[in-house]
Amino acid sequence: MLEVNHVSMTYRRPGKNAILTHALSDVSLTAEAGEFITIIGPSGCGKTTLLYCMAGLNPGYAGSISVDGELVRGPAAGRSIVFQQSCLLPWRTVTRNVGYSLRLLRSGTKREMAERVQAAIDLVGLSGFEGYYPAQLSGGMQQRVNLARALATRPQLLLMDEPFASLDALTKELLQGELLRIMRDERCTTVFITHDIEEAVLLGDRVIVMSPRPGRIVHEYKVPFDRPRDREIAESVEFSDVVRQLRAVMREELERQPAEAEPAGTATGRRA
Amino acid sequence: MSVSNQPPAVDVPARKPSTVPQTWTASLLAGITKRRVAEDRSKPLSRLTKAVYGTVAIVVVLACWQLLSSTHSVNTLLFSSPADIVKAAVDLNDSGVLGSAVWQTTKVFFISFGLSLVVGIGLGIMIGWYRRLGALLDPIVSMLYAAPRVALLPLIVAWTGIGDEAQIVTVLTIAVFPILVNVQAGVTTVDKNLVQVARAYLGTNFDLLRTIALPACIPHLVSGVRQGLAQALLGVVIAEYLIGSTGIGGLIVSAGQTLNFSNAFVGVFVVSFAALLLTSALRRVERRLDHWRV
Repeated sequence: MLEVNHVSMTYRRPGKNAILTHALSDVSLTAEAGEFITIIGPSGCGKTTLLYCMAGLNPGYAGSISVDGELVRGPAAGRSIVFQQSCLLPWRTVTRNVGYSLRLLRSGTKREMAERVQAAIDLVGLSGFEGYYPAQLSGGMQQRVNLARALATRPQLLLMDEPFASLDALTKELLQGELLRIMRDERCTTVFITHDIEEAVLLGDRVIVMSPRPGRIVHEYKVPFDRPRDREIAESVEFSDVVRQLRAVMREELERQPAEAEPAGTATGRRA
Repeated sequence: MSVSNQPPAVDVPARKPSTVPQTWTASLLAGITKRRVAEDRSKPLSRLTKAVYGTVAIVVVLACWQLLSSTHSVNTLLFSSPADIVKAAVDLNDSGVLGSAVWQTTKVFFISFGLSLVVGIGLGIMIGWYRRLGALLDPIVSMLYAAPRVALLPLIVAWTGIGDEAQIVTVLTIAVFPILVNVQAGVTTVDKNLVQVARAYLGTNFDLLRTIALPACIPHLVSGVRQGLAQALLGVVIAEYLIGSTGIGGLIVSAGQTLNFSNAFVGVFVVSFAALLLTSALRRVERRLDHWRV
């Protein structure tokens, strides 16, 4: 179970004219064990910052985050990230990329690792591509490797940072379907960041809407569809209604609070 | 003049292939001025094509040289000729001079280049990875790299005496820097995203170095080694010129002093041939190491 209590975060942008960026403002949320929550918000609202805080890669936050009662102070085994860019090691084959997480965590013997790697590869549908290098794979397949690397560790908490954002529409739909299938068996608590409303509703048990920067939670929505699901539900009228409601909420939020203007001095001034 | 009747000039040759040129000059002109779409440059020339072209160029140059010498259009005493050079090479080989010179130069080269590799790669990784060590040593390295290290030669001779050691140290001071600087640059620039991956799975600093920094460093390493190789060859000949007149460098110097330019050319060709061999061997290694780049 994941608990986020009153998390705020400000960071100083590096550079000459250091600007304090208020990224997160008093964010609180919980996710039950095995729950799939999606966090949705406009670009730059601090979604990724929040996810990195949960992962323990972003230690400078105020407030507290705990997983199964244990405070997040740094990265830990049992928490895996699926990165926005696939972040694969280009000199490693699919197998060795998937196994990278296990090797670093040093979990189990070589044989156990090899078995878990193969299981993860099969699970994401990459059987037959074990010996390929990332440069030989399509964007969608690279993201499958990215996902397999995270799943191979059998995490209690799976953190996904807009993993399908850079894929074309069809590949994205395909992978959403695959993820629904995978999540049928792997019941780990999952936090999925996205800026795509349909995606948030399709995948999530609960959708959490964040405001533009500084990111606050402005709305929570319990998705009325049962699991196991598949992509078919996206065709239903009910689904469209839910999406329409959420879109209205988000638009209202965007209009109420125009995105933080760039402070003078950063934008290239008229120095003609 | 009916200007209005003329079609736009550019389109004429391309749009009207049916018009038959009257004379061969006209057809030639049409061939030259014809608008061509640029060729697709994505595919490199095949290795065979390159080899054929390269060989042809060398053969033509040698043939011209031989022709000029045989007809005495150039002073054969100064410029020698391919035939004389071959003859000189055979003589030098038979007398055993060439063999021992090659052996001496090879020995000095491999010892000093090997040392350069070990020191350059080792130190490069250290100061690239341990950033404080880098900050500490960077000014010294930059200063030494910028200095003409041949200027150190009298000092080196004073410290080590005239012998192989002085030559080895000279070559080391020349060849080590390109390797060191490139390796350092390669290790320093690690992909931030990959660092996050390693951190997410509790990777240690050493894991980071081993699994991310070092593999990513390989292209830098190879270009450093390529530069170091060229510098080492140069350095070994210079060291032989200036310290003790041994090996191929010594052979060239003494041939020059006795005006036996055929012998000097033998030395030059041996060194160039060795350089070619070594670079192609390096390219082979590079292809091996970079197979994932598809």
